Amino acid sequence: MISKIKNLSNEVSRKTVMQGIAGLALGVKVGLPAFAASPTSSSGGKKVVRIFLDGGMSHIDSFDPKPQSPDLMGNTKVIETNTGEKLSAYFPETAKRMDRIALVRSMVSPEGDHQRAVYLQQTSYALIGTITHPCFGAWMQKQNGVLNEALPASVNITSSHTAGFMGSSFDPFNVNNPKDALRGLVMDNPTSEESLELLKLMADVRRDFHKQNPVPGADDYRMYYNDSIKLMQSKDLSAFDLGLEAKETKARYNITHGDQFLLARRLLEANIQYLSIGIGGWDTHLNLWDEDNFPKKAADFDRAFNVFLDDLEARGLLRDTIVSVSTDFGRTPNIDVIRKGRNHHRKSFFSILAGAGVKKGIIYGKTDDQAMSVIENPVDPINFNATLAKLAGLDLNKEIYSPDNRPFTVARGGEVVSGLMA
Amino acid sequence: MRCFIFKMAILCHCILMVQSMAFSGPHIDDTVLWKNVVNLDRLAWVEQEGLKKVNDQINDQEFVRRIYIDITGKIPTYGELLEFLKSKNVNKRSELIAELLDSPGYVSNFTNFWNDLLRNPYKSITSEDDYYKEFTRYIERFLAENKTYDKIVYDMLTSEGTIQQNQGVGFYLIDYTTDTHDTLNATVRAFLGTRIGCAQCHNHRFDKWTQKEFYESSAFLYGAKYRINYNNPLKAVMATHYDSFVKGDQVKGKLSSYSRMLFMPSRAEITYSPEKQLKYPESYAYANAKPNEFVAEKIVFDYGDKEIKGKGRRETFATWLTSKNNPMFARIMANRIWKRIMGVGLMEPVDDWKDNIVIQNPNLFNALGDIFASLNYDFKAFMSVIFNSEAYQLGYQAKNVFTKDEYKLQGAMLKRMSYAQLIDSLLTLQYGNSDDFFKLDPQYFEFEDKLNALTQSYKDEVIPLIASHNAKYGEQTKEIDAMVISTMNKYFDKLQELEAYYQMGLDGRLKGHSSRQVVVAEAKINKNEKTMMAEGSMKHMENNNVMRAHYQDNDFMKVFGATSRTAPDTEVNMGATMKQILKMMNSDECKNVVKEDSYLMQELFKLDKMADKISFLYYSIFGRAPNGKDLDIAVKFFSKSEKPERWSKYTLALINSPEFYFYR
Repeated sequence: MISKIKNLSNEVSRKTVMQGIAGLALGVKVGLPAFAASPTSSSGGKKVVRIFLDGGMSHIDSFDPKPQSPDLMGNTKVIETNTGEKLSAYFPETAKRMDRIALVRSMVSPEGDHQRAVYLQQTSYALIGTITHPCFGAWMQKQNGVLNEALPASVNITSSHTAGFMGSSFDPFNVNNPKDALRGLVMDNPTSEESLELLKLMADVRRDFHKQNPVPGADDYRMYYNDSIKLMQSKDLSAFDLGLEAKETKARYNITHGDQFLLARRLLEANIQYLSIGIGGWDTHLNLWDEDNFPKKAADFDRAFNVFLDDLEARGLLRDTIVSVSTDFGRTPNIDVIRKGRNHHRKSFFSILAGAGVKKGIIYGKTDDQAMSVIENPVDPINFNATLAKLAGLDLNKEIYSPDNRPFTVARGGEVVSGLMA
Repeated sequence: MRCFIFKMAILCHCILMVQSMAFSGPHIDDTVLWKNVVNLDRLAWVEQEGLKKVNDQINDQEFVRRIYIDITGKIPTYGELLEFLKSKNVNKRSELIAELLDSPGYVSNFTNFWNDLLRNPYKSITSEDDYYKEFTRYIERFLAENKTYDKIVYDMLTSEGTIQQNQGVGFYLIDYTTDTHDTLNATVRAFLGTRIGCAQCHNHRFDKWTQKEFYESSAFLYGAKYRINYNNPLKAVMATHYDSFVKGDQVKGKLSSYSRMLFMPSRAEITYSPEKQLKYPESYAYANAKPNEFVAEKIVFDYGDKEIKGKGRRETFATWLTSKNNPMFARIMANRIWKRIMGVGLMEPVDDWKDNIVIQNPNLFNALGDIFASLNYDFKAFMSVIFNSEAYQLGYQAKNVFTKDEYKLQGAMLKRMSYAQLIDSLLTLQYGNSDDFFKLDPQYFEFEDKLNALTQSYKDEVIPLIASHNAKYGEQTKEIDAMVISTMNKYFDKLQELEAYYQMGLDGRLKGHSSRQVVVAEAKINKNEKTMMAEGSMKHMENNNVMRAHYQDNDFMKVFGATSRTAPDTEVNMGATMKQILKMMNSDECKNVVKEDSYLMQELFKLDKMADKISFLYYSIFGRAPNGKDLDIAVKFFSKSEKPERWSKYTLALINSPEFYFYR
């Protein structure tokens, strides 16, 4: 299905329909793209996976330990990585593969509040009441179009940011349960005799209404009925079906967060160009070192993250995919003795990049001996996003306009951190 | 002494609430009503050049479906429909309008409108901010009482206190992460129909607002102190002294939820400090003021009485805004209501007034505001004028279809149901008129008020007690003051009493379901005959009528265009998407309607003849009788078999026709 329809608004307009019909006349097969409303991708086809560690993962207990300040370390131990660096002992799998990633230890954010911090990272703009800014995936779709027209351009897995003022046709598709991603959206056996009978009955029942009401608002539904049936019957949807995965792979992903990452990998293979994965539980104000708190959560993430990256690497997917890991902010190196945890700390924290175009095996930036402040190469979320955008082949200077005519760019004029680029 | 007065005040407040909780119909007598209707119609037609009435009056079938959807937000049941159609009463239309305005359906439908307008979030930002639920109840209350518009806005703008003292503080709490600039911006946009928010950071590029004017406006509301307190002091104490609190099995297992229940409402509070004064920002770059200079508040709009003074800054602003001297206040809301009912506003967009704005039929636009004001801002009275007018009751003709730009008052447009109307209509098919099982009677708010009184008194008595206990003993010590235990147990006892009397599971309330749902689920309130409850109880239902379901992305609501509630936006998104079609075909929301135990299917299976059954379904779903073609399709389909699952399949096909989810 080659679509020649450009549509930047969130409603299918008559103009779109007319263009579609014109396309038909030219003998070009035209159909409305399944979820997106943009032309086929014209960029280098880069894909992005953003992992959000919701709540603010403690940096000193993870990727920026300070063995030289034992009073600040609590129960956290330190291990050596395969690049001769130090990492928290809670992340052994990552430690063995440090040559694969770029670790940023010098993140700084102006925001210490969860909602504001995450919003800034997702959109590059500050949370404000007058407008909702688009997430990174929406920007990718806006600039690059889509890679696979039969599927959504971007997907949120246990994560939820929207396209804001760009409109709902740029919204990522939301999956709350990776095991049942298409719940309520597809028929079992859409090509069986039973299903075909039902679909025919539906068409018969509504035929007269469409005939009597050829008005734009109602007519769009007629067109979408036809296209949605095609979609339900298409093979591309199988990307969402975890059950189809090979037995041996399924076993490897049979761990906490395994479903989220397995779905992500399958969707990458189906050419969905943006995935946002949310993994929560990091807001450890209280009882950080309890066995079922940070230690377990860290181990779960460490394992799943590396199973995922190992798999991407083995399948050659890392060649055109950028994977990033972000978190709201860091946590206070000074331990909160009463609550046995750490509180919000926005002046230093970490992030991770891996994949296409990323400089491998480096640690970028530095904090002081107490992990309190950045002393070298600070990176703020806007610059991080600019770097991500550059890696993804996006145009940093291209302005788009909100409905009330305000201009926006993908990373709000942020600067690319060249030290992170290969 | 202070404590006693305070408690008395709460008691009086409760009594007052209980007394005034009967449903209020529109307060308008016939003469006034029809005078306004005639005036409206005259302005709609006579004073417009070149505008001709081309459509006839709507017929009864279309009227009844339309009026139910427009007032109660859902389709009529088969019984309600037939009752209206069979009636020979010449006044039946205007009587139905009055009856529906007087019903719980009006409250739940317009609660959605107000939740959208006031940006009340669907769910808490953090795990424990439940003020949004309280604020929804505040809205339900003022709708049920038919509180007038000017009072509603005035009270919210000048609100203060904890959530249980004054649920209206939800209006300010929404902006606790961004401060009152956003509140001012939302206020101006919602109630004055214009956007001043861009000027917060710089002079407005496309309109006349300057940054100075933004700050002068924002200075009125500035001074709110937000307290959201996460630290339940009781938690640590309870953890160490659990056994002391648990008397046998009484409170066991519920201790944690009771503690939360008592603590939570006190957590959110707005206090207003007039001495907190707004300054121009550090980055202020224009010559007309200096950075960090104090801002002198000033009314920057060209309407209303700028010299008005109130008790304090907020009162001044609220008085100016809601005064009858300010025609914009009435006009903007009148236009929003008009748009909600007719599908298109006279001013479009409804909230972007600029100096060069073009308004269709400016005489009518102004007059609608004047009518609303002359009715003392009574919503139900105002709406009954519109509903009874000829302008509303014109029929829809496909051949006279017009677009938004060419709208010329030829009756309402063909509209798709909003997400809320669609969900509620599906629920009506699934359960019958859900409001039959729930009359918004005094019990509903009475339980709330008692609970609020209890939690307020908990805050006043227990929190300081715990604080002094912790100061004396430390939080983790084994010693505990006996008085703490006995006081806490007193509160747990009272909570249990409330729970038992009203048969309302507090758990349900905590988990984010409305107490209305819990009332419905628990079939009996044995002490009060006035409340009608279902025998053979209804299962716990997802009552989306008041949109309290936790907003989950990609769920039915969002797919059908629910607003994000980040801006004062009552615009209902009607755009078609493929996901919507997929949902209509495959979602649980639709499949539940055709399950054999649904209300619709059960009523269907009571009938014998095929023709009766088809007719029942067509009336229930489309509001009309099946024609010859419809019957042919049905006969052909059922020739294979007439088993119940065939009927389910057939009914699903009917629901999937846009004829169901559009209305004219």
